[in-house]
Amino acid sequence: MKLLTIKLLNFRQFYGSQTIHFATDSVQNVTLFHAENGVGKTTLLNAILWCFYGQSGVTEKFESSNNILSYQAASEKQMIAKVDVAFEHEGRMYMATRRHSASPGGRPEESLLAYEILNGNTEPLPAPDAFIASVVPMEMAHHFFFDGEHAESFASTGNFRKVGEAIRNMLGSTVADSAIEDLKYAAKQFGDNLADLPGEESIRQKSAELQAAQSNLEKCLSDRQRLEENLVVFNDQIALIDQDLLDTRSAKELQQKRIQLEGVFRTANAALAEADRDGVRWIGRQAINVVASRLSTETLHFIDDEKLRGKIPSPYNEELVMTLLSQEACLCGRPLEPGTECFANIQNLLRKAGNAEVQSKVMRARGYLGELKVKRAAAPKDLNRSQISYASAYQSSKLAEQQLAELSEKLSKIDYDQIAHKEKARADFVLKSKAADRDIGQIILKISIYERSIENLTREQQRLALSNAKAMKLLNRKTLAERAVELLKGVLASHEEQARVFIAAEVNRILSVTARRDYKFAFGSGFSFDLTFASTGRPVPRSSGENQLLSLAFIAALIKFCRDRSLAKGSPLLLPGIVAPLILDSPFGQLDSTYRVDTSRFIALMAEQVALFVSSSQGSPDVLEVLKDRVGKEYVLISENRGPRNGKHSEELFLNGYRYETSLFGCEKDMTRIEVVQQ
Amino acid sequence: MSDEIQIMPSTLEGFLADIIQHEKRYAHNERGAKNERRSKVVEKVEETAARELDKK
Repeated sequence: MKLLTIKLLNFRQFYGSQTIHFATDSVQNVTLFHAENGVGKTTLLNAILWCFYGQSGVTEKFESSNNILSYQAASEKQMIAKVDVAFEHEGRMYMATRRHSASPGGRPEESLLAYEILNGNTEPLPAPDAFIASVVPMEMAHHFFFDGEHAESFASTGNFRKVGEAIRNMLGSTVADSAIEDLKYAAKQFGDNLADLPGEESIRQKSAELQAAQSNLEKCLSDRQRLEENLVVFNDQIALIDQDLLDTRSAKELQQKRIQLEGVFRTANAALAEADRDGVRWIGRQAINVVASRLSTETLHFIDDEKLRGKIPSPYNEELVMTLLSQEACLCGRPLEPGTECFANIQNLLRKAGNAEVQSKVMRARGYLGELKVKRAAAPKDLNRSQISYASAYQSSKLAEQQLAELSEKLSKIDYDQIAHKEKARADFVLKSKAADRDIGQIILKISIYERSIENLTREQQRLALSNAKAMKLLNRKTLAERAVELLKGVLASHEEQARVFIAAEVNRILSVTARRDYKFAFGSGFSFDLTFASTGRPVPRSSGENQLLSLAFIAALIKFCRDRSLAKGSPLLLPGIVAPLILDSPFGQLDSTYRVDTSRFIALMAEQVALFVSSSQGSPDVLEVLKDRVGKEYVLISENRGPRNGKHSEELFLNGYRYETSLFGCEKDMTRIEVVQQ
Repeated sequence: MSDEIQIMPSTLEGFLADIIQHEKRYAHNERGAKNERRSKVVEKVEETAARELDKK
């Protein structure tokens, strides 16, 4: 089914007659509506639902659904409101018209008409309700005409009943579900008749016992389902709290790491200080060697040089001079007489003559200078070792300092006030979970007792009934109805399982192209949504945004499932699948800007025809840019008010280079006007 | 449920098809039709059992 036009007459704030043409192109398949809150997005969505299904079809958000007529129109004594929806279905064109007529003091009346449009003429259809329901069954409609602000509700914990209902609706199992209920009713009727059979006390008694056991079994099965659903909710909550508390646990780990790092930091700083001191010591140790390097080299050269030249002889020599003077004879044999000039000359030598002590001092000085030279050669190596120690200690210190700063930042982000609260909540859920688990165990035991009892009572009842024709007839009927129920339940369970597998695979496909992280989706117990990190298998703590994204992915998967079912030859027990437009009201409400852009990419692909309602905050320029090539028709809803502006802010939109003031004051009428966006 | 009451699969399938057809007729007419719809299911059980099971 594809929507062609919708024509509104005095429908709520859409005063007068206004028409919308929907995009029907296969590529430019999006009809985009810009509207601020309260202007009429939800009303427009509900206008279609109201037209098709009346008051029972509108969404929960459409309050006072019996109050359809525009206040403006009512004030002008216009008493008719009407919605005409023209659509194409399986190659033919149709028109559905629902009319609401109010009369002063009387009850308003509503009527639906449906026509086939043939060559411009309208041919009335005999059963409009049944016809509309065959095109889009009401239970499926809410998954196509969709209030997106509640989108995340599918993915919210504990909403798996809604999910199961949606899947069953799209599976078309409502007829089979209704058949099961009616057959159960019939079985109970015949069972009650058996229990009331006059004149057959034993059969009556067994039948009454059997009815009671079956009733108890039904109650136990229902309690078990409820408890199992509760258990899923409790365990989901525990998993979510665990995820939150993981931050707390990681805080403890971070704190331990901080203590360890502070130790590393202290050690590194001590090593740094030691390396610093070593540097100072090196100066003390090696400075003289380095500074005296040139002096010692030159001195050594000098000593060696002088020695070679005999300037520092050994010994010129006090002992020799003294011997010559005492013997009064020169080395050459000539006499040295005291008082002579020669004697005086030799005596003068005593002033310059070295002795053993002087020579020893010179030699020691030479040895010391040689040592200085060796130490000088070792000084750079020594300095290098000291510098390496310093660099290593510095690096360790800086690394520890940086890691400590990072830890501090992480720790500062943890909300410690919530920890105690969450621990308590977790403890409560653990208790509830244990209690539910224990109760389930007890109920399972009861169920098996009732089942055995029913089996025995049935056998006994049959044995007794064999001798009573009336009882046998009633038993045949009861058994027929019961077996039909079992068969139907088995078939439905098989279809449901196929649906679950298909939808889970499709949701994963959508998430793989839209979600920011690598998520893995699966149905948990019942129809609960299990979203985990693909890499670790840990549950994803879901924000509202992720719930909305998950819900949208689920809806997209449902729509695909339904479309595929419409193409395949399905089970005769199920209503066929349908192809219908997807109408999304505010689908990005909880999504951040990145998700909005990613999501808007796949929204156009969710169905063959899409109508999208966005406010200015949701329809941000980047979203509009992504949608640009897919938009076939574009409208803006303008709020016109008779009252004065009274300081209210001016609201305006810029679309395709044109400016639209979306709230006008001092107007002739109170109404919402639908204006085509200029291209 | 019963070892002694035998219902042929064809009987059960035919009966179910009839019930589903009946339910589909009521699928688009919810209001006030529940009792009538259920009564007719009871009647159909009665008819099928009388035709297929009672004579055995």
